[in-house]
Amino acid sequence: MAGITTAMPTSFKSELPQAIHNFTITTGNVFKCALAKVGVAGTYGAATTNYSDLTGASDEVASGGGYTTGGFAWTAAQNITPLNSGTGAYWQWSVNPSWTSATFSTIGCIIYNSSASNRAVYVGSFGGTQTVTAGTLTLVQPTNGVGTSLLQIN
Amino acid sequence: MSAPTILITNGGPHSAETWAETTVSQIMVVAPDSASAAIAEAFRARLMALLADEHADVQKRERAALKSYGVSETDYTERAREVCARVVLSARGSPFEPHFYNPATVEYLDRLLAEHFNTVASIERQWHSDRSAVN
Repeated sequence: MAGITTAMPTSFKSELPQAIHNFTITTGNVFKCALAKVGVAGTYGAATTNYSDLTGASDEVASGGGYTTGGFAWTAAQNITPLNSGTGAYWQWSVNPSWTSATFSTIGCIIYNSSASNRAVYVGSFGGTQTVTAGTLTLVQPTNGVGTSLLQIN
Repeated sequence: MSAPTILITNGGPHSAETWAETTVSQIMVVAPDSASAAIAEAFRARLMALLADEHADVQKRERAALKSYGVSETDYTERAREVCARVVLSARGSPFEPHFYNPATVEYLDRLLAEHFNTVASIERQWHSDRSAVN
């Protein structure tokens, strides 16, 4: 069934021990956050492997109205080097992705590694349609900690 | 997996009050049935006021720099440390003092404030860039 479900892509889990992704601050990879349009044709979640899944189904928010396809780009300096506590590891980014002068609707996002063939690292549902008009849409990341970070292994 | 919170403001950037609300929501949650709910609410209100002023100050500094120089590359990590110290100090003498003086809490507050201040700055720069492109 078409739609988007918050998940860590299964492919990402197998890519981590292959050292395909580097989240180190400053020297790591560049990650991007692309938005999914309302009424997606595809199904996005744990089985999503790549940003191309979104573009291949023409499910990304179209360019214009404050959005450019490809999405928000973090610099490597905005990576937060993964931390661990107890038996868990967690990480995210030091700036929250934002779109300004924005007029569009979206239902979710895919975060991907643009330094590693656009492989997906996170799929997020917004719980419904989010609409912004000539304004600002910001994805405020959760608390960066064990059990709460956007990305975590427990 | 955790999901991000969506912040939407139509017609411009998020207000300093919206940011204060967002930041405080990641610092403390007041349970309505808590025995010390009134004390917690009062402390929460103090934090809200402090952080609304600080977020407004970041916006003001960014707007001034962008107006004068057209660009701004200020990093607010150091500023976050100063504000973190004020947040911790504001808990002195309250039932929350042990929590806020815990080094792990201080480290968390430091990171959170830097993340939110730098996002506020980034949004101001994006709006400036958008307006410059139109004019």
